[in-house]
Amino acid sequence: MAAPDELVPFVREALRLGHGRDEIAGTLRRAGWSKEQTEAALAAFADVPFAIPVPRPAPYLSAKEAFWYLVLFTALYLSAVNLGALLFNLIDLALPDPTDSEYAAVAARESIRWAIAILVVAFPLFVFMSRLVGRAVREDPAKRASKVRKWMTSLTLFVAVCILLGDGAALIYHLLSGALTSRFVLKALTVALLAGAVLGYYLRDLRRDDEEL
Amino acid sequence: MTRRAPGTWLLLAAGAVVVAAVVAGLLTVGGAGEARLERLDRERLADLDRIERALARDRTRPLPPSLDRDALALSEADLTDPATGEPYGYRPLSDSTYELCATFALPSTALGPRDPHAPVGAYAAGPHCYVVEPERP
Repeated sequence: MAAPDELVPFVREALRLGHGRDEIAGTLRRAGWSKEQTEAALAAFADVPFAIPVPRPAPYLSAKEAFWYLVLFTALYLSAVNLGALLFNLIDLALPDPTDSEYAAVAARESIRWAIAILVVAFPLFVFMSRLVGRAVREDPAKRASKVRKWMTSLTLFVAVCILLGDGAALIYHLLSGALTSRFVLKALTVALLAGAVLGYYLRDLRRDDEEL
Repeated sequence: MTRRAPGTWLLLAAGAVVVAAVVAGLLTVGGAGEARLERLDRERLADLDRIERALARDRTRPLPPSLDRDALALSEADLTDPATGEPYGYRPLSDSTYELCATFALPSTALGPRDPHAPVGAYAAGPHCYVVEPERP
């Protein structure tokens, strides 16, 4: 969370006068500031010895990075959704349901063609953008403070959690209504794996951003 | 970098899944070549349907001895095979019954379910002739 405006100058002054970080935190806590507000204000300064307090890189907003991350996450969403659609249709054709309409097989073939076409374009773009952004962050760890990065990652986590929620609910509903076929279980598993992989990876990414800053 | 980051491994695994799924998808629906053959067969069926409807338009006159583009108000493309350019086979059997012939690249099942009452019926890959009888009023 962001530090309250009046707290940062106070912490700067206290650090300049040589007070320890724990001492400053204790004083602020006694004055009624919350633990999060205190930590945020102290986090604005790096814990390195110098004549005066050294500010940490503050979160920033860059149009160029907005472009990078928008392309990266658009390619990620397109890849994940169409990989899911492709796997769904392959499962449908591999395990046909006698209650399907005759036209379902034709529709599945058309969906497979679209899914392949989108994957062939979007997935290499996602890989390329991932590597580009990954290299940029490795070379300049201050880029982890990008606001677009934080927001897009959080948004992606939110979407992944929503999908897992829906997937879990659908699984329980089908279990309760007795329609739990191997075909449905395979599809639920596909969704859980896809959303789980995205969630796991970006959760780790977000945590590392916080640690390294 | 000798040790790869977990992100790289995940990306490699995702790439393997994507490639496997795309290959499985292509094996299921057939590649561009097979899709082309399906399109050509659909066009043949559409041509034959247009010819049938053009011949059914004027029931008062007997069937013509051969298919004439101007008399039937059809285009040259409607009367010829889209791949070879050969005209479709046509033979009047009586005043109102005739036979149409076309050569299909794939069996009729490749195109999925179609109108079971269509005169062309089910067919195998290769030349196929069928008789068209006018519907009884």
